[in-house]
Amino acid sequence: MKCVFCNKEAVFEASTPTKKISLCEKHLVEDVSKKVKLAVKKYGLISKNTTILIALSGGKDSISLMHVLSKNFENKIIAVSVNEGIKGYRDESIFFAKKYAKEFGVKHYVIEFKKEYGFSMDDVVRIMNKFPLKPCSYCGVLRRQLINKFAKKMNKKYDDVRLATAHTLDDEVQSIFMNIFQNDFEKLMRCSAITGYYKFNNGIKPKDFPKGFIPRIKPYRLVSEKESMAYFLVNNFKTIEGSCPNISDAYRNRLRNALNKYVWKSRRYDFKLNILNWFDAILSKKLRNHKIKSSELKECKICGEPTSGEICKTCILIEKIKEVVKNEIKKE
Amino acid sequence: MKIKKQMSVKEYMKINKINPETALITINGKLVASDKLIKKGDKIEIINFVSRG
Ligand SMILES: [Zn+2]
Ligand SMILES: [Zn+2]
Repeated sequence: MKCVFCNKEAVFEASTPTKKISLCEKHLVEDVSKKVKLAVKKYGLISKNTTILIALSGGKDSISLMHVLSKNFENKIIAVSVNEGIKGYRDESIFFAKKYAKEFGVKHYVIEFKKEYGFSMDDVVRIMNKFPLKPCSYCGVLRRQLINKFAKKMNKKYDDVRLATAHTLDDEVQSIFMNIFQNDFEKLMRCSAITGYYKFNNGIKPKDFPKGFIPRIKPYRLVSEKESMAYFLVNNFKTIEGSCPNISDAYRNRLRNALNKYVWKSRRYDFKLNILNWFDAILSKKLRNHKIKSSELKECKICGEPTSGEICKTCILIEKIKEVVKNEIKKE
Repeated sequence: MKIKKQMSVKEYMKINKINPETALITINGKLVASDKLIKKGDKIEIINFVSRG
């Protein structure tokens, strides 16, 4: 099989809306880069003076995304990793995050649960065994707040900071289905290319965001998980294998398997992209009619994020977790 | 994994019921297209990426 662009030996077959095309290593890299540039343009993710802050877990997707961005954009790029304190997992992925940030010339920061909250995720898991919620639900909330806080700090130092996450086409399509099946409209609204707070979704230009608000952008949204992995492989990148030991997202995994099996058996290779485009069309229509009342919004007294009350829901949860965990650590 | 009989990556995936949406194949450490022939003694690796962050 030959590359459709240069006739060299193909290493990958990429799905397009109409057919599969075979690509050599060089043109595979170009194809992924093109998709990122297309997403940036289509959704207006990055402006000329935007500082891109990459949420760098050290997994295949965030390393590949950092590489694509650093190769294709003139913008200032920085990266942040969160060390939640998960032994044998996070220390290793942060090793690779550091290594590649240095290689790509990206300034890299690490923030730690232990330092910021006084406890690690390992502490939380040990203690939360007594409580009904799964560790991931705490971990995500705690991590998001730290990253937000960090992004705001960077926003004082650099121009127009936007937080780039490495959500792939697969992640996004899974989330769309999960939220439809659970009839969760608020979460469904977060499945757009620019988020951070559901009322500020696409359809609203970044210049109209409230002051200090850090948009979350998804430049990897048109790249499939498979393309991301292929990009990672042909660049000879390495990272740890396997996933977080606490992971308990059985619902997402079942849905992911079902969707991938459907694409495989039906040969509908454009299925995921069609769902995404359909969703974007509905969402932008919905949001065009959605006016923000500035009187509705206040700043959370603890974290400064937009909220309808005095303290946001995230901070209320975090305060509760902190209290329980600290008390339990004292008892031990 | 080592194989005895020569076959293409596509056949190999079919026989082993590997979903191409969830896995890539490398031969001797290199990513390959589905028509690539696997030769005797080649080192084949199945890169299952859905379980990796
Ligand atoms: Zn080529
Ligand atoms: Zn808050």
